[in-house]
Amino acid sequence: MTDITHILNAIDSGDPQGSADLLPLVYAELRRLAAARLAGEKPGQTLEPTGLVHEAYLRLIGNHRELKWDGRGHFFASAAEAMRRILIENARRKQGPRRGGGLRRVDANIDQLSASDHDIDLLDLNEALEQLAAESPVRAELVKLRYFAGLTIPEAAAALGISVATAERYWAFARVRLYAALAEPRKNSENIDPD
Amino acid sequence: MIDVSKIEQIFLGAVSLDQAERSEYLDSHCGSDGELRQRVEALLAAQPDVGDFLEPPITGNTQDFGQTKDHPIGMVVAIRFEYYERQMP
Repeated sequence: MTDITHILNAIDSGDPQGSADLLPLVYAELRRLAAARLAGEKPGQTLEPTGLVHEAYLRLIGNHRELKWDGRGHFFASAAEAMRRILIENARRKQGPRRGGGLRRVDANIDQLSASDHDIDLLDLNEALEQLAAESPVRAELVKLRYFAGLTIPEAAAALGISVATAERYWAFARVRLYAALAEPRKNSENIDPD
Repeated sequence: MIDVSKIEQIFLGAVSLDQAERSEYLDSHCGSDGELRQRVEALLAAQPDVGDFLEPPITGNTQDFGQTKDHPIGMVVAIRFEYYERQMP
Protein backbone atom coordinates (compact mmCIF):
# COMPACT_ATOMS: atom_id res chain seq x y z
CA MET A 1 0.00 0.00 0.00
CA THR A 2 1.92 3.00 -1.26
CA ASP A 3 -0.22 5.67 0.43
CA ILE A 4 1.15 4.97 3.85
CA THR A 5 4.72 4.61 2.59
CA HIS A 6 4.49 8.07 1.05
CA ILE A 7 3.22 9.44 4.32
CA LEU A 8 6.03 7.78 6.28
CA ASN A 9 8.62 9.08 3.84
CA ALA A 10 7.11 12.54 4.16
CA ILE A 11 7.46 12.32 7.93
CA ASP A 12 11.09 11.23 7.52
CA SER A 13 11.84 14.24 5.37
CA GLY A 14 10.33 16.57 7.96
CA ASP A 15 6.92 17.22 6.50
CA PRO A 16 4.82 18.28 9.51
CA GLN A 17 1.59 17.21 7.84
CA GLY A 18 2.85 13.64 7.64
CA SER A 19 2.04 12.62 11.19
CA ALA A 20 -1.42 14.14 10.98
CA ASP A 21 -2.05 12.16 7.79
CA LEU A 22 -0.76 8.94 9.30
CA LEU A 23 -2.92 8.75 12.39
CA PRO A 24 -6.34 8.49 10.72
CA LEU A 25 -5.13 5.69 8.45
CA VAL A 26 -3.62 3.71 11.28
CA TYR A 27 -6.60 4.41 13.49
CA ALA A 28 -9.06 3.22 10.82
CA GLU A 29 -7.10 0.05 10.24
CA LEU A 30 -6.77 -0.78 13.94
CA ARG A 31 -10.43 -0.11 14.52
CA ARG A 32 -11.40 -2.37 11.68
CA LEU A 33 -9.13 -5.12 12.96
CA ALA A 34 -10.33 -4.70 16.55
CA ALA A 35 -13.97 -4.89 15.48
CA ALA A 36 -13.32 -7.99 13.39
CA ARG A 37 -11.49 -9.65 16.27
CA LEU A 38 -14.20 -8.78 18.78
CA ALA A 39 -16.89 -10.08 16.45
CA GLY A 40 -15.08 -13.38 16.17
CA GLU A 41 -14.07 -13.79 19.81
CA LYS A 42 -15.57 -16.49 21.98
CA PRO A 43 -17.20 -15.08 25.11
CA GLY A 44 -14.69 -14.47 27.89
CA GLN A 45 -11.70 -14.27 25.57
CA THR A 46 -9.61 -11.16 25.56
CA LEU A 47 -8.43 -8.94 22.77
CA GLU A 48 -4.70 -8.56 22.35
CA PRO A 49 -3.73 -5.09 21.15
CA THR A 50 -0.12 -6.03 20.33
CA GLY A 51 -1.41 -8.49 17.81
CA LEU A 52 -3.60 -5.81 16.31
CA VAL A 53 -0.77 -3.30 16.10
CA HIS A 54 1.43 -5.78 14.30
CA GLU A 55 -1.31 -7.01 12.08
CA ALA A 56 -2.09 -3.40 11.15
CA TYR A 57 1.59 -2.93 10.40
CA LEU A 58 1.66 -5.94 8.11
CA ARG A 59 -1.49 -4.91 6.33
CA LEU A 60 -0.56 -1.28 5.88
CA ILE A 61 3.17 -1.60 5.29
CA GLY A 62 3.33 -5.21 4.17
CA ASN A 63 6.48 -6.16 2.37
CA HIS A 64 8.16 -2.77 2.33
CA ARG A 65 11.13 -4.17 4.19
CA GLU A 66 13.27 -1.34 2.90
CA LEU A 67 11.40 0.98 5.26
CA LYS A 68 13.97 2.42 7.65
CA TRP A 69 13.57 2.16 11.40
CA ASP A 70 12.54 5.83 11.53
CA GLY A 71 9.53 5.06 9.39
CA ARG A 72 8.61 2.14 11.61
CA GLY A 73 9.10 4.31 14.67
CA HIS A 74 6.59 6.78 13.29
CA PHE A 75 4.20 3.96 12.58
CA PHE A 76 4.46 2.64 16.12
CA ALA A 77 3.95 6.07 17.65
CA SER A 78 0.83 6.47 15.58
CA ALA A 79 -0.36 2.95 16.35
CA ALA A 80 0.16 3.40 20.09
CA GLU A 81 -1.87 6.59 19.97
CA ALA A 82 -4.59 5.01 17.84
CA MET A 83 -4.77 1.94 20.08
CA ARG A 84 -4.98 4.13 23.15
CA ARG A 85 -7.91 6.03 21.63
CA ILE A 86 -9.72 2.87 20.63
CA LEU A 87 -9.36 1.38 24.10
CA ILE A 88 -10.44 4.61 25.79
CA GLU A 89 -13.51 4.90 23.55
CA ASN A 90 -14.41 1.35 24.37
CA ALA A 91 -13.90 1.88 28.11
CA ARG A 92 -16.07 4.98 28.03
CA ARG A 93 -18.84 3.14 26.25
CA LYS A 94 -18.82 0.35 28.77
CA GLN A 95 -18.19 2.17 31.98
CA GLY A 96 -20.99 3.68 34.06
CA PRO A 97 -20.64 6.53 36.58
CA ARG A 98 -17.07 6.95 37.73
CA ARG A 99 -16.38 5.96 41.28
CA GLY A 100 -13.35 6.74 43.40
CA GLY A 101 -9.86 5.41 42.76
CA GLY A 102 -7.92 4.63 39.63
CA LEU A 103 -6.60 1.28 40.82
CA ARG A 104 -9.51 -1.13 40.78
CA ARG A 105 -10.89 -3.82 38.52
CA VAL A 106 -12.86 -2.79 35.47
CA ASP A 107 -15.25 -5.36 34.05
CA ALA A 108 -14.69 -5.50 30.34
CA ASN A 109 -12.27 -7.84 28.66
CA ILE A 110 -10.87 -5.20 26.36
CA ASP A 111 -10.13 -2.90 29.30
CA GLN A 112 -8.42 -5.34 31.59
CA LEU A 113 -5.60 -7.05 29.77
CA SER A 114 -2.73 -6.47 32.12
CA ALA A 115 -1.38 -9.47 33.98
CA SER A 116 0.31 -7.17 36.49
CA ASP A 117 -0.20 -6.97 40.25
CA HIS A 118 -2.30 -3.90 39.68
CA ASP A 119 -5.78 -3.55 38.27
CA ILE A 120 -5.68 -0.38 36.26
CA ASP A 121 -8.65 1.79 35.45
CA LEU A 122 -7.93 2.73 31.87
CA LEU A 123 -9.86 5.99 31.94
CA ASP A 124 -8.12 7.20 35.10
CA LEU A 125 -4.78 6.19 33.63
CA ASN A 126 -5.63 8.11 30.50
CA GLU A 127 -6.47 11.22 32.50
CA ALA A 128 -3.20 11.01 34.42
CA LEU A 129 -1.38 10.43 31.14
CA GLU A 130 -2.90 13.55 29.65
CA GLN A 131 -1.74 15.57 32.64
CA LEU A 132 1.75 14.17 32.20
CA ALA A 133 1.61 14.97 28.47
CA ALA A 134 0.78 18.60 29.27
CA GLU A 135 4.00 18.85 31.28
CA SER A 136 6.19 16.52 29.26
CA PRO A 137 4.98 15.23 25.87
CA VAL A 138 8.00 12.97 25.38
CA ARG A 139 7.59 11.18 28.71
CA ALA A 140 3.90 10.61 28.03
CA GLU A 141 4.75 9.36 24.55
CA LEU A 142 7.19 6.89 26.03
CA VAL A 143 4.47 5.50 28.28
CA LYS A 144 2.09 5.16 25.32
CA LEU A 145 4.67 3.34 23.21
CA ARG A 146 5.46 0.90 26.00
CA TYR A 147 2.04 0.36 27.45
CA PHE A 148 -0.19 0.54 24.36
CA ALA A 149 2.10 -0.77 21.65
CA GLY A 150 4.30 -3.04 23.73
CA LEU A 151 7.64 -1.63 22.66
CA THR A 152 10.67 -2.45 24.77
CA ILE A 153 12.72 0.41 26.20
CA PRO A 154 15.37 0.27 23.44
CA GLU A 155 12.67 0.20 20.78
CA ALA A 156 10.78 3.09 22.34
CA ALA A 157 14.02 5.05 22.72
CA ALA A 158 14.76 4.57 19.02
CA ALA A 159 11.22 5.59 18.09
CA LEU A 160 11.55 8.75 20.16
CA GLY A 161 15.10 9.58 19.12
CA ILE A 162 16.43 9.50 22.68
CA SER A 163 19.13 7.41 24.32
CA VAL A 164 18.28 4.21 26.15
CA ALA A 165 19.62 5.74 29.38
CA THR A 166 17.30 8.71 28.98
CA ALA A 167 14.37 6.42 28.21
CA GLU A 168 15.09 4.43 31.35
CA ARG A 169 15.10 7.61 33.47
CA TYR A 170 11.89 8.85 31.88
CA TRP A 171 10.27 5.46 32.40
CA ALA A 172 11.26 5.22 36.07
CA PHE A 173 9.87 8.68 36.72
CA ALA A 174 6.70 8.36 34.64
CA ARG A 175 5.72 5.05 36.23
CA VAL A 176 5.89 6.32 39.79
CA ARG A 177 4.21 9.56 38.85
CA LEU A 178 1.30 7.82 37.14
CA TYR A 179 1.06 5.25 39.92
CA ALA A 180 0.88 8.02 42.54
CA ALA A 181 -1.81 9.79 40.52
CA LEU A 182 -3.94 6.66 40.29
CA ALA A 183 -3.42 5.63 43.90
CA GLU A 184 -4.80 8.92 45.11
CA PRO A 185 -8.53 8.76 45.83
CA ARG A 186 -10.57 10.83 43.41
CA LYS A 187 -11.44 14.22 44.82
CA ASN A 188 -14.92 14.45 43.28
CA SER A 189 -16.10 10.90 43.48
CA GLU A 190 -19.75 11.93 43.31
CA ASN A 191 -19.44 13.62 39.92
CA ILE A 192 -19.80 11.81 36.67
CA ASP A 193 -16.90 12.68 34.39
CA PRO A 194 -18.38 14.95 31.69
CA ASP A 195 -15.87 13.81 29.03
CA MET B 1 5.06 25.41 37.03
CA ILE B 2 7.93 23.28 38.27
CA ASP B 3 10.07 21.75 35.57
CA VAL B 4 9.39 18.03 35.32
CA SER B 5 13.06 17.30 34.59
CA LYS B 6 14.04 18.82 37.89
CA ILE B 7 11.58 16.72 39.85
CA GLU B 8 12.73 13.67 37.94
CA GLN B 9 16.40 14.38 38.54
CA ILE B 10 15.99 14.87 42.28
CA PHE B 11 13.67 11.88 42.59
CA LEU B 12 16.13 9.58 40.81
CA GLY B 13 18.99 10.92 42.89
CA ALA B 14 17.12 10.37 46.14
CA VAL B 15 15.37 7.08 45.51
CA SER B 16 18.33 4.81 46.16
CA LEU B 17 19.47 6.64 49.30
CA ASP B 18 18.64 5.61 52.83
CA GLN B 19 16.43 7.78 55.03
CA ALA B 20 19.20 9.89 56.55
CA GLU B 21 21.10 10.47 53.31
CA ARG B 22 17.84 11.16 51.55
CA SER B 23 16.86 13.90 53.96
CA GLU B 24 20.22 15.62 53.47
CA TYR B 25 19.98 15.19 49.73
CA LEU B 26 16.55 16.78 49.59
CA ASP B 27 17.70 19.61 51.83
CA SER B 28 20.52 20.47 49.48
CA HIS B 29 18.66 19.94 46.22
CA CYS B 30 15.26 21.38 47.03
CA GLY B 31 16.50 24.20 49.23
CA SER B 32 13.62 26.40 50.25
CA ASP B 33 11.38 25.26 47.42
CA GLY B 34 8.63 23.62 49.45
CA GLU B 35 6.51 22.67 46.47
CA LEU B 36 9.41 20.98 44.72
CA ARG B 37 10.27 19.01 47.85
CA GLN B 38 6.64 18.01 48.35
CA ARG B 39 6.36 16.70 44.80
CA VAL B 40 9.55 14.71 45.09
CA GLU B 41 8.54 13.31 48.47
CA ALA B 42 5.16 12.21 47.09
CA LEU B 43 6.97 10.18 44.45
CA LEU B 44 9.41 8.73 46.97
CA ALA B 45 6.46 7.69 49.14
CA ALA B 46 4.75 5.94 46.23
CA GLN B 47 7.85 4.19 44.90
CA PRO B 48 7.82 1.14 47.24
CA ASP B 49 4.34 0.19 45.99
CA VAL B 50 4.93 0.65 42.27
CA GLY B 51 5.84 -2.99 41.67
CA ASP B 52 5.31 -3.90 38.05
CA PHE B 53 2.80 -1.11 37.38
CA LEU B 54 2.60 -0.58 33.59
CA GLU B 55 5.38 -3.08 33.01
CA PRO B 56 3.33 -5.77 31.41
CA PRO B 57 2.07 -3.71 28.53
CA ILE B 58 -1.64 -3.73 27.85
CA THR B 59 -0.55 -5.35 24.63
CA GLY B 60 0.88 -8.52 26.13
CA ASN B 61 4.49 -9.40 26.83
CA THR B 62 6.82 -8.80 23.93
CA GLN B 63 9.32 -11.24 25.43
CA ASP B 64 6.96 -13.98 24.32
CA PHE B 65 8.25 -13.56 20.81
CA GLY B 66 11.45 -15.45 21.40
CA GLN B 67 15.08 -14.42 21.70
CA THR B 68 15.26 -10.84 20.60
CA LYS B 69 17.36 -9.17 23.25
CA ASP B 70 20.65 -9.54 21.44
CA HIS B 71 19.47 -8.26 18.12
CA PRO B 72 19.56 -4.70 16.82
CA ILE B 73 16.25 -2.93 16.95
CA GLY B 74 15.41 -3.30 13.27
CA MET B 75 15.99 -7.03 13.51
CA VAL B 76 13.81 -7.26 16.64
CA VAL B 77 10.98 -5.61 14.79
CA ALA B 78 11.49 -7.87 11.78
CA ILE B 79 11.54 -11.00 13.97
CA ARG B 80 8.32 -10.02 15.68
CA PHE B 81 6.58 -9.22 12.43
CA GLU B 82 7.69 -12.48 10.91
CA TYR B 83 6.26 -14.25 13.94
CA TYR B 84 2.92 -12.58 13.28
CA GLU B 85 3.14 -13.26 9.60
CA ARG B 86 3.44 -16.97 10.31
CA GLN B 87 0.43 -16.82 12.64
CA MET B 88 -1.86 -15.12 10.16
CA PRO B 89 -4.15 -17.41 8.13
